[in-house]
Parts: sequence; structure tokens; C-alpha cells
Amino acid sequence: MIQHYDTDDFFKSQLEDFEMEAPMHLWEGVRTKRSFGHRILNQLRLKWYYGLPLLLLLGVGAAWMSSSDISSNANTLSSIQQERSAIAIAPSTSKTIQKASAMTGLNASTESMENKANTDDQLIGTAIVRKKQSITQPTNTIDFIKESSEVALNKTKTADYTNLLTNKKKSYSLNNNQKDAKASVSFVNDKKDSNSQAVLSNLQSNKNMYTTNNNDVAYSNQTATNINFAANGLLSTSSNDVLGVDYFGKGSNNGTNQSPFETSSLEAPASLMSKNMGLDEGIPNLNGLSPDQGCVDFGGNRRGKVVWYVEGFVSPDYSIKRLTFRNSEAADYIDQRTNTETYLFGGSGGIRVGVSGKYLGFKTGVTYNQINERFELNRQVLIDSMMVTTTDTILTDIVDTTFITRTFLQRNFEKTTKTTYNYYRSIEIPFLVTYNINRGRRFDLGVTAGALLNVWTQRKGEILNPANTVVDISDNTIFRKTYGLNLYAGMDLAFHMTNQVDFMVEPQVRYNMQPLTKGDHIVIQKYFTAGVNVGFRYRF
Amino acid sequence: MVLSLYQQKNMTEKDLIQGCIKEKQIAQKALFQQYAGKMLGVCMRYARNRAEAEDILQEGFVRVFDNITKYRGDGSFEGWIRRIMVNSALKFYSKKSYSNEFPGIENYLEKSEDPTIYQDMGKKELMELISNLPDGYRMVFNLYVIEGFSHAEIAKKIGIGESTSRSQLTKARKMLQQQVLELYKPAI
Repeated sequence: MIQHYDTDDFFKSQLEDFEMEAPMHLWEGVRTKRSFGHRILNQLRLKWYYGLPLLLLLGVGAAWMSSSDISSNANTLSSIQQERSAIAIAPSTSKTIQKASAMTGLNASTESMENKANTDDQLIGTAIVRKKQSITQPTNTIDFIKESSEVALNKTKTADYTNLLTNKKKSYSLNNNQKDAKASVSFVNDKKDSNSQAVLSNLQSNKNMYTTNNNDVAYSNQTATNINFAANGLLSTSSNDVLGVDYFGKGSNNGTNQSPFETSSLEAPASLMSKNMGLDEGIPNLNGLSPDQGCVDFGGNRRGKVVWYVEGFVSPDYSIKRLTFRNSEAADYIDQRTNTETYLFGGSGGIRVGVSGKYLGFKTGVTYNQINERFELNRQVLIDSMMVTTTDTILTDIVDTTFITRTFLQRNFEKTTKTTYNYYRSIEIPFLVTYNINRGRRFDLGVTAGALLNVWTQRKGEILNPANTVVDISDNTIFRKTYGLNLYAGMDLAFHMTNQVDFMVEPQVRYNMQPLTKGDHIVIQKYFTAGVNVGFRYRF
Repeated sequence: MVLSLYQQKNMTEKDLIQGCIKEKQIAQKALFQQYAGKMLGVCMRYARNRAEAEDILQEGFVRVFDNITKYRGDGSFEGWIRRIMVNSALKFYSKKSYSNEFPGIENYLEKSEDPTIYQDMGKKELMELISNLPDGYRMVFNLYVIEGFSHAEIAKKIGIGESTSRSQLTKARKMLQQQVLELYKPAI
């Protein structure tokens, strides 16, 4: 065993630091093998802070969206009450009401609230179910209103009572608490004034004329107040159901006979109704019903529609210059270029017009790009040269003297640093196709890809040429007049700020398909650019 | 003697690393010049021949440059590059089975090893002996003898059993001895 270790030690001592001469063609191989993607990733690791603005924007967007969800509930509730009061005094069809509900984004809210009502059902009683049915059959309810109007509906008194209820409903809606709801109901019942009671009694005399085919739907006190409740409840939430239904229940408990009514018998002309009700004034046109401006539903009604828009944006860019050689002799020149040129900053901006359908969209316009670099060259510059002659005298003996004369060239150098700020400007026409991943109420999300056609370029500054001399880049000796096509890809995110204005954030990358340099130049120069377009979009 | 860029520019190791992180080609080239010779020696020990060693070296340096941002500076930079080279070599041969590569090994003469039989051999001859070993034997021998890994570590590194690692090391030693005996047979 010891012998084994000796052998091992011998091998280790001999071979641990074994070196061989590595030919430089291996270095070229390494350079060629390294993928462009890896180099970009390394750069991104180094320049990670460039991603901060993007993260910040996304964070703000997410926060805005989450806060909008909360505020939209409140907005929806207020719009519900506005719409409800309008519908309560005007005839309409269920279709119109459903449309209005859709416009205000009420369906989802009503649905969620009905879930709450389902819980309340067990506690408040079957009257809730009845009331909910009146909500889901708005036509019947409205027809019922029409008939009720014939029994001398006291609009003023009912309105007072409705307002009273509405206040309590609002408080319940905000608290969303069953106890509060019950308290509200008792409050309402306590506040029932004699006028309301009078209306109740008036209407009771007419209730027997209504029959229904649906035996499950049995209304007890078909009072004008109740009717108003029903009408109010057309677009109301479960909290309204609780109030209105509980009131129905109260009436039922008071010993009123339940009278089934037939919905088909309730058809009445709208003109008759309005005449009888005396409600011509102040009746809103439901067909022209517009959503509450406070209700955040800017994108909802655009789904599936073709939308034209114009957008303006600016972007801070980060560009990575890619220099590759057309022949291996240019490797040293690339090193010199790399060592003397430093990327400073870049930016782009533009205006685009676009059209977007349900899934696909197209946009074009004009974009401007600029890349700024610094050229810095440290060199020793010959400032003067002269021939210097020196004579040495060598005294070999008292009599003999030898003179040695030397002549040499003396050159004086000065270290200089030449710094020039270069820029590359260009204007492109984008031809972009967008695929819409999401066209939502809060934001639109899509991916964009396409080409940018370069139509104009301008450069200013200096670089080294292959002969290692400084040359001006503003002329077109090295660079082409136009750069051809660039590839473009981006993630299109647009937050709806108003009905027509979006705040857009578009992380994007661009890549030169064709080199900036001419075909006879020994180096191919291209740029890979990444940025985040930030701007506004106006939808027509 | 030709000075490397590293020496010409008076660049420190830190400068080199920072330059490589910034993708400065001059720094990358200097780093390559600085370490390529040593690392080619490492690769040669693991490779069958010089061509494969050069492939491994190139692959290794690509990985060095791609992952240089992960170097935290808490150990020797040369050691870090060396580890990458060793891993590149292992990856290069990973598709091959390391066990039972040389079934005829049992027929080799079983003689006690005498370290003195290698004394007269130069480094290049020793390298040649190692490169003649089957892939699995060579890997285990290098990892255990030169790099100093334990059998457990080797087993984990190249995906074989610990006992396989031991047996392959033993067989590698025997094979090396046999090769030397064959080499000096006429002299004996």
C-alpha cells in the first residue's frame, strides 16, 4: 500500500503543474465559440440596475391595478345607485337593463353580491329568494311597476321613502355586514311614515288583480314602495335585496294574503305608464345610458372591436456593440476598437399609429434612435526629434589623446489622450405586428414583433481605422448610408387610464440584421439594443 | 521570452477579472494567455490526445468567460479555472461508460508496484502513459491521484459507485505499471 502512495505522489509531483504551450488559434476558437447570448447575459448581470426602472414601472402598475380593484367596488356601488334610481322611475326592457349592467361592469359585482345573499338567505328567510327572483326577472317587475302606477302611486312619498332606504342601503353596502343590514331594515321599518302606510293600503286593494304562472314567486305586499324596491333592486346588490326583501317579509307577516300575479297581464304601453305615473320629467333615456365615469371599465367594451390608436413614447436604451471580423487578421483591430470605444448611453422615441383587432394588430410610424459612445485614445506623440552628437575624449597617455564621436537621434514624446464623443443617429419606420394576449378592463397585454426599416442615419465622431489611425466617422467611408432592416420584439403593456388614454410600457429589443459597416470593411459592426418604451396611447 | 499581455500591461489578476466581466477582449485574451498553458496541461491529463485536450480547453475557457461573474474571489482564481477545466473534461467524456471499459485488464500481470520504474521517465512520457489509459481509468486516476478527490467525491462527480472508483484506480495503476514494463522490456 505504501508503494501505491509513493507512486501516486510521484505522479502528482510530476504532473500537477505540467504545462504545455497553447497556440493562439485556440484563443480564436474560444472567441468564436462564445455565443452572443452568453455575452449579453454577462452584460445584463453587470448592468442589472438598468432593469430597475422596468421593475419599478411594473410594480407601480401592479399596485395601481390592485388599488383599482378596491376602488372600483366603491365606484360600482355608487354607479349602481345612480343607475338604480334612473331605472326605478322609467320603463325598460330587461335587455336594456342588462346592457346597462354590462356597461357599468355590474354583472360581476351583482354576482358576487348574490353569493353574499345566498348566505343571508338562511338567516333572513325565503323572502330573499322571492326578491332575488324579482331581480332576475326585471321585465316582470317593471311591468308590475306600470300596473301599480294605475293605483295612484304617490311619487313624492315613495321617493322620500326610497331615499331613506337608499341611505341605509348604502351604509349596509359599505359595511357589508348582516347585522348592519338587519339594523338598517329595522331602522327603515321604524321610519315608515303614515304616508307609506297609506300607499300600502291603496295598493293592497289592487293586488288581487295580479296573478302569476309561477307559484314559487309569490309577492305579498305589492305596494308602491315595494315596487320601488323591486325596481331599485333591478341593478342592485344583495344588500339591496336584503332590505327590499325583508320589507316584503314584514308585509307578509302583517297578515297580508299572498296574491299570485300573471306577468303576461302586466303589459302596458310606456306612454300610458309615464302619463299615469306623471314621471315624464326626469326620466332618463336608458338607451343612451352611459357608464359612470368613476367606474373603471375602460377596456371592457372594446373586446373584439377594431380599435385605432396613436401612441407616443420614449425609451432609455442600452446597446451592446458587436464587432466581428471578416477575416482573422482583424482580430487585433477589433481589440483596439473595443479598447478605445466605450458605450455611454442611448435612447429612442417615436410616434406610431396602429389598429388592433381581437387578436392581431398592426402598427407603423416613425422612430428615432441614438447611441452615444466615447472614443478615448491614449498615445505617445512625437513632439520633436534631433540629431545629437557627443564627443568623448579619452586620454590614453600624456601625449596621445583619442576622441570618440557619437551621433544619435533623440526623439521626444508626449503622452496624449484624445477623447471624442461619438453618436450614431438613425430614423426607422416600424412595421410591427401585435398579438393581443389580453384585452382586459384594466390593461391590454400583447407581444409585438416585426422589422424596423432604416431610412436615415447620421454619425459624428472618431474611431480607429484598420491602419491604426484616427478617422472621422461622419463621412461614409466606413459606414453605410442606411442600415437596412432591424429586428424588433417587445412586450406591449397598456394600462387604461381613461376611456381613451392608455399608459403604455413596452420592454423591447432591437437587433441590426445588416451591419452598419460597409461590405469591404474588415469588421462587421452591429448593435443589440434593449430598452423600455414608456408613453401614452390615445384610442379613437 | 515573449511577455504575455498580462505582463505587458502590468495588469493585476483583479484587473483581468474585472476586464473579463466587462467583456473586454483584451482582458480575456490576457487571461487566456496567462492560464492556457497550465490548463492545457490539465486537459492533456484527462484527454486521449492533444486534439481532444484542445477541445476541452476551449470549452473550458468558454465556460470560464461565461461564468466569470460567479467567481466570488474567496479562493484561488487559478484553482477556480482548474476546477472548470476538470469539469469540462468530465463532461466531455460523460457520455461514455466509465466501468468495464477494458475487460482484458484482469489478464495484466499482477506485480507489486515499484515507483522507481517511473523515475527515468520524463513528464511527457508520463503523460503519454496516462493518456493511454481507458477513459474511466484515466478520469479516476487523475481525480484521485492528481486532484486529490476522495472516492466518494469521485463517485458523485462522475456518477459511478464508490467501489467502482476504487477498482478502476487499482486497475489504472496496474495498467500503468504494465505499460512501463512493456516499454522497458527490451532493456530488461
